[in-house]
Amino acid sequence: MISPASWLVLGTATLLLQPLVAAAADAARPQTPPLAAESAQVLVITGSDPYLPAFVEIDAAMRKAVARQQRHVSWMYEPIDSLRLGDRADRSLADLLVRKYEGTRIDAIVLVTDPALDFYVRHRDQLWPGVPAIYNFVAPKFARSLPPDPKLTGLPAELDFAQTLRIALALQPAAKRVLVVSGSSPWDQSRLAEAQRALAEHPALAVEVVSGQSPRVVAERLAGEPDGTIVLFSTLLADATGRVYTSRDALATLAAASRVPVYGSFDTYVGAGLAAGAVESLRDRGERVGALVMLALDGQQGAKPAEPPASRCVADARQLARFGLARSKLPADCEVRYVEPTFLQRYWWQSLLIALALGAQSGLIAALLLQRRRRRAAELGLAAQRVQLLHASRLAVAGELTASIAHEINQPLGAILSNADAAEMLVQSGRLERDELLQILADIKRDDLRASEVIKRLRALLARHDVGRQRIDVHRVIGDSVAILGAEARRRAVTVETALDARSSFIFGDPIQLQQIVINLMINAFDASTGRPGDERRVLVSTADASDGVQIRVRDFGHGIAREDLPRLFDSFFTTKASGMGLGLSIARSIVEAHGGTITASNCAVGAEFCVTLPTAPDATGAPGRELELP
Amino acid sequence: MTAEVVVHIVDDDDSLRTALQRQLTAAGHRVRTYASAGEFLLAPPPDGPGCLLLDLAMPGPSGLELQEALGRHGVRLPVIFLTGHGDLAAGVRAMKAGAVDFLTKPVERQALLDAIGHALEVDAAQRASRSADSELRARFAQLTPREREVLELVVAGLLNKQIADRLGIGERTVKSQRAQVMAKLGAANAAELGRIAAALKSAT
Repeated sequence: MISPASWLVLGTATLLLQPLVAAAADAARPQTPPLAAESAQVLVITGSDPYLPAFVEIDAAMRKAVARQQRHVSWMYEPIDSLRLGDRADRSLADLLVRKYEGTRIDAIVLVTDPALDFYVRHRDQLWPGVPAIYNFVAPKFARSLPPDPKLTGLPAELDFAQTLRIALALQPAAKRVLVVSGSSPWDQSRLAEAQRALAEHPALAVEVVSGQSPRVVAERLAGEPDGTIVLFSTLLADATGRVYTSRDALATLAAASRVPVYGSFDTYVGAGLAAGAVESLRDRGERVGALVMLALDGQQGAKPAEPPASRCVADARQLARFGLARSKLPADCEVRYVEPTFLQRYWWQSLLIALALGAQSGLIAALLLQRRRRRAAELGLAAQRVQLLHASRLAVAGELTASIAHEINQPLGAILSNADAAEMLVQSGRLERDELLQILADIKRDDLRASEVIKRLRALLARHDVGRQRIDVHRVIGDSVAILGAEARRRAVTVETALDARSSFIFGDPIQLQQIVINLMINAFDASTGRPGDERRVLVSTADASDGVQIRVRDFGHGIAREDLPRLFDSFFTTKASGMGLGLSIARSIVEAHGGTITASNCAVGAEFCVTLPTAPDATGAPGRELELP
Repeated sequence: MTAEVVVHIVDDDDSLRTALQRQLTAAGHRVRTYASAGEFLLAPPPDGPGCLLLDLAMPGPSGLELQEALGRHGVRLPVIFLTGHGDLAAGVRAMKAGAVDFLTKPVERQALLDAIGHALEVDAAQRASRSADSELRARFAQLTPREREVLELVVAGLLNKQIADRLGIGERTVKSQRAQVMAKLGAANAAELGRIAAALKSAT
């Protein structure tokens, strides 16, 4: 970075040195063209339609090349349009131009195509004597025919038919015939002559020339060409009727209809339907002309014609594909244009992104599926464990109830034994009456049934049962639970009261699990009642309708729950009992939650109350309102 | 006074109660049944001999509580506990509170009858001892206050002279009152008087 101070020093030095530098420059440039630093005026004379695609491209390249040299040039254009007018206006045009450019300085002249050069040669002394001229796109033969002139140089143009033919034969090795298409203008005819010279080197090929036909007629002709024909399209600027065309458009018309590939030697043909050909770059040509113009403006023009750009093989991938021509048969350095990029080539980064996204997504999905499977397996394992745990906890409940269960079974057994004994004694003593014996037998049967009922209930509680979801009546489950705990309540001298006031008492769930909850809560209530005075050894089991289902409340009149214990009450392994495992309430909660319900605990004025709320089943039998996932 | 011997059964289980009643009746016992402890307490107190067959686990007051209540009310019937399950802790408590037996249901006939027979024997013995005590107390009631003082000092082992000094009366008066005490209590000598005095002390 140059600091401002440095700029100041440099600037001052430049100011001081300026006169010296200027003097030195004057001495070093004795033949400086007077116009080097000013705007130069260049006249472009085109012999044909200046808007032919090729000339437009060349012109643009030429002007760009000049502009790159920081040289300002005013470009002027004079089309002679010999194609349409021929030589008729030649003389009068010269007079006109003399008048037109009177007093206008012309620093260089560019002559495009043979007619322009011809016009210049004939009228330069009259029009622009001594002004350097550069010709472009002139037949080499014509250029060579002119006497050497230091003020005239340029780029001859020759279509490379020889190379084009070699390319065509490489692609169609079996071809025996060449059809040459040409227009009938002088320009066309001189190109055609060049083509024929090239064809002469292939005596084995039958040559047919279609000349002076309109593109449409030629198109019809080509539509019926047999396989194995090489079509060599020369130029077509005018047909025999004098109608003027653009070669490029003519080629497009007939190539579209052709059954066989069309070859040619002109840059602008590529993309218009040309299969392949040896062409020179028009842009390159334009730049070379531009360079000659610069030399002319600088007064350093040479007399020798400049070298035109070398022709290169160019092919159109679409046409090759259309005619089934193998790209591999082209010369190695051949430039194949219009290669249809594959989807991946055209949208490579989008494709990459999509592929990445898909990959990521697939990976994610796979991971999720795997996770789901693992979780499922874990859940199944967990569910199995929970079933075992539920069963174990029921066994534990049963263990707690051993005393009362034994009592409950032994009660009827005792009665049976006593009755049988009484009957035996009565029979032995001979005092037995028939009615009394019948009564005794009836009592024995009833007690027997009573004992088996107890065992049945116990088995239901203890059985390792499959999780069954069904419509169940909460009231019935409570009734069963109270029955199972009846003896235990008696043993502990606890009064059990029920107030089953809920009107909709059906839920959808597992009766044994629900029973387990009720029994668990009731035993807890019994425990809370132990050691209390007689009238406080009461447990109240009630139901009520709730907005979100049916409520089951189990209330005791014991010591209540310590406030610090309330939050942890339903945690696993939390217990306030000396011999408790701390699983009862946590199991109760897991069952309740699996049934879509809630369980809460609270202290009352006296004692504690547990409240279980479960969603009720729809009234219609069967059809569950929701799918439950039971533990 | 030859009141009938009654076996009282308190059990909340209708079926078992009826069966026991049948069985004991067939075995020749007089039986009264009660469905709860409360029912038993509300019935006229059983004065006559007998025993109590009590279910340990009942709603409301339990068998043990009834046993305690009976003790407070002066009902001294021997108690046999029946239980559906060999609840050791309850059994120990019952026996400590004076139960004569503790049976587990279902009970075999012989075990039950033996227990009842033993309970009735205990009851009879208690009654006999209670009636002897009451006769002794009646005799003691006949003593004058001065004679009771003399009895106390005699039993304490004092000589007549010492008693006279202690009470501030003449030695002859002590002698005559001592003779009165022995006559009223039916004691032949001083040693017998001491035994009677000890029995009195334990009876009151």
